[in-house]
Amino acid sequence: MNAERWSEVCRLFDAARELAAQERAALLDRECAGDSDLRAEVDSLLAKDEGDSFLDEPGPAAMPVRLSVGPYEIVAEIGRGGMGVVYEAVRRDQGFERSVAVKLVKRGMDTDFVLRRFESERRILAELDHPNIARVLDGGSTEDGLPYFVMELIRGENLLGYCEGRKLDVPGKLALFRQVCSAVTYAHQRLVIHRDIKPANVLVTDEGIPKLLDFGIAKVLAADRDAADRTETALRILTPEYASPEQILGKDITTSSDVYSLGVVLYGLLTGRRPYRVETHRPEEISAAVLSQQPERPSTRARIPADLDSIVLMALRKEPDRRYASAEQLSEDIRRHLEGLPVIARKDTIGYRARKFLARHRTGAAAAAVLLVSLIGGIAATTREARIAERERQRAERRLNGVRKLTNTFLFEFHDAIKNLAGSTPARELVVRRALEYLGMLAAEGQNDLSLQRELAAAYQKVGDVQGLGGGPNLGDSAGALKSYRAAQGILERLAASGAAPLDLEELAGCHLRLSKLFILRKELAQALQEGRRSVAIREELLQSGAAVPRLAIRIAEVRRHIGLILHMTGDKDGAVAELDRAREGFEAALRTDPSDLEAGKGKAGTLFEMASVQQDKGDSLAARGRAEEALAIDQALLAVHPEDARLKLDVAMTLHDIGEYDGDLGERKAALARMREAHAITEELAAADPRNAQARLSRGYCMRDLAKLLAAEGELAEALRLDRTVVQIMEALLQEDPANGYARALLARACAGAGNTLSPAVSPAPMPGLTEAERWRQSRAWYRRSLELWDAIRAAGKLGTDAREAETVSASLARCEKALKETPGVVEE
Amino acid sequence: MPGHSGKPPGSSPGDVTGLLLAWGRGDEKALEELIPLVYEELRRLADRYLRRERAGHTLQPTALVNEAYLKLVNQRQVAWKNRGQFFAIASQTMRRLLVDHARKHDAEKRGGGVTHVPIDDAVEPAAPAREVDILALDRALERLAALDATQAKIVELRFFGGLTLEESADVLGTSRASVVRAFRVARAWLERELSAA
Repeated sequence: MNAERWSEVCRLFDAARELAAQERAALLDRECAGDSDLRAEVDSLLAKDEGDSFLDEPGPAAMPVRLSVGPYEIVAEIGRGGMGVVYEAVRRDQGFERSVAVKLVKRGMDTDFVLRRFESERRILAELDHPNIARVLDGGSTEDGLPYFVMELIRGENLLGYCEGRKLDVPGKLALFRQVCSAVTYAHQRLVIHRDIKPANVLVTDEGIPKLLDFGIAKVLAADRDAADRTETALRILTPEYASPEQILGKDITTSSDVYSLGVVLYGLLTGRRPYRVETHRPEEISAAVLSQQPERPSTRARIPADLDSIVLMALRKEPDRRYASAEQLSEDIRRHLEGLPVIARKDTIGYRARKFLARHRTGAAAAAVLLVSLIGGIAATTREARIAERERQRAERRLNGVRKLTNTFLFEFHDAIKNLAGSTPARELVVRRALEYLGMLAAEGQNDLSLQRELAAAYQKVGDVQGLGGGPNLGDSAGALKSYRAAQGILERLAASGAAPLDLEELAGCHLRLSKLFILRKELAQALQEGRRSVAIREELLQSGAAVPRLAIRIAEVRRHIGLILHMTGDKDGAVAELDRAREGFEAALRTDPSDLEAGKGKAGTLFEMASVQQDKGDSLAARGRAEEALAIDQALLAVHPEDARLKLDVAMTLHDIGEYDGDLGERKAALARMREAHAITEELAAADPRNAQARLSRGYCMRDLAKLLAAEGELAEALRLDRTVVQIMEALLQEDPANGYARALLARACAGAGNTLSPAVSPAPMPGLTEAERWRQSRAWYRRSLELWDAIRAAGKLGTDAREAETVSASLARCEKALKETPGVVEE
Repeated sequence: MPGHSGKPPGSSPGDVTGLLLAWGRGDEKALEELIPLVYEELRRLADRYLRRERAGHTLQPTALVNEAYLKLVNQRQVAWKNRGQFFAIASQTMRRLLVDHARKHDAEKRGGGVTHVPIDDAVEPAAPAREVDILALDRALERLAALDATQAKIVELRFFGGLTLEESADVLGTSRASVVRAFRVARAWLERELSAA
């Protein structure tokens, strides 16, 4: 065979392949006439063409194992180690692309087990949202069965390298280290133990922000199905230099193990050395040293203050309960050292304490005693909490099933989207839609699986929150939210009907409350009231039956307050007062048991706030202001303890707003304006911090509108008009996203009327430079008309309620405009 | 777990990326420098895998090529076209490596028959790895190249480099349809040659 003849064979092979058997034979008969070798060649190739070939398994080929991992396209390899490989990868999804780090676990791990383990952990891990923690985003297995984890991609240098490269001094290193501690503390509070803290797992970004990697991954990988393997597993997976004695022994691991590893890291940061002297670096030798050697005092290896010696050694104690009780305590002790205060690591020596104390204070020996007592008390409390936490955690771990997978994949990625990708509404909506599809499928399949049904109900409620419940970040889709809540309600009712566990009923009560809140948002008050009453009825029944539902009394007070609010909105002031009083009693009872209870504190303040508003409506603004100031005091005290609580900030703003209103009622215009400005500033800040949050935008508009009103009364017409125009824009945007947002529509109507008032020479006698009187009347009339149209629409939808009077006022104002325009000389109607 | 660090010593992504780009611009000298770098990296990777063969680790040529690519080339700078070129070099290199390895194995076994390198890294015991006699395949490909060099090249790209039909067409500067035709007949021919052997 030569190339020429081969090309003839190829030509015939190509042509024949396309044909059916009969035509094929005809073709070959014709083309190969007389050349039986050619015919045999082509026939034998055609025969081989039929079957499978080793060449088409897209070879080893088309499975480019290392070009993608699951849905992630690999961009570059960034690391490699005992556990596997780390890649930089991107995920290209609908509308957005993000770079991530993908850790591919090498062969040899028990994939199924690792994945099951990961499934049970991923929701918890996904919820770790802290500036110093690299987030775990996803996980799964490749087509060829290797587990992988997807994490936030951090570009940075490892902790030791960073400190060395930048030649950080001791305080600089300690500051970084304390940030790592804050990450660990945060995770511990959420019941997650890291288990593999080491400098390689702390990357410091160019901005100097340390990020802790691999939270919880060590646990997922530690295939310690039975305790006998644990030691071996620990050694295989962990870095023995950083593992605690209990980890090496395969004993129970607690938050204290992380404290120990932090101690090793701190040791290395301060001295550049490891705590134990070893000859070789065999794991066995290191393990033996960790178990038996006392670490050398860091000060023998580097010039560091004695306090730091004690701090490091306390973290490195062999017995977990003699270490710092928490990472927070370790961090606090470092802070105390930095500020020259006594450190608890050395508290046992009285002479030391006295020296420290005298160095700082000349007076007040009692203060030292108080400090000591509170420190010891603190340790005891945290130890107990840590144990309870661990038990709760173990309990929670047992409740795992497939629903988690979908809620995690969709809802939690969705949460990421909310936080990081403001403005990508279509992508987020898509995610919600997908989540609903999956939920629908699961709901149909798992009818008999009680725990699955519970998870489903929770997931539907979560979706509903994300779609449209006020008070949290949401998409402003109240119709969608209503559907989701109804789906949850249906599931919970079926669960309740089939043998009613108390917690299912409680969950159902919670669902009715959510529905009620949603109906308020939609200004469907009769429905809201009905849902609220259902909720309280279920909870009261639970309380009567003595069911073990935690915090039930507070929850009942919560619903009562909510019902009071609805009653007030419907105009039933006496009913509202009665309901609110019962709510207040409930919260106060809870506060008597635990004065620091945040929820009860917030509840009481909220109830007082609402009572004030009812009192104002009853014509007693003085009493109203008293109530509101009580509420403000509670909120501000809570905010001092929880400065990051956005909800509390909003509460403070709303209370300030109302106090301003009462001041105005009482003729104290200056005070009113000051309060309103304060409220306005807080809502501006909140909306700026979370620009997609419908609730925050609504609150911003609300305060802005009332500030405009006060400014107009003060003659600041230009400023007032500017604010009302801004309110109009905010509300128009909200309505575009969710036409059923009744609040936004009412506020829009109000802002239009407000602009009309500011422009109307009759309402606002102050001059407006650049506008003739006739022009002011005309513009005013246009605003009133628009306001009236909106009120008419609200009335037509049956949602006017107590706002009827406002609508009438606008109507009267408009009539006055028309009249003025007729009577004003020189005004020509076009 | 590994930290985010650690590049292979010697060749850095910069070198290979730069050479690849230069070659893409028509600098033939760049190719001469490029091939040894790629060979070296692949040999290193392959050695690592092949040493573990006894421990039940099997060789997956395309995985190696991909790995080498990720290590050597900065993906952000390199266009699709260059990527194809890299894979073309790598697939050729891989073939050489595998053949060398198989010969060495044969020699060690004192001519104890053919060496089968499992070509699929699948783990399920239910689906035993499909095996192919690398030396026989190599010889058959040489014979095919004498008849039609392009056909042999396509098989090399696909089998040893893991390129798709599109990518192969791209590298060869021809259409997908002609690659499909060429591959189809080459496939039938190789199947026949190897089953006869």
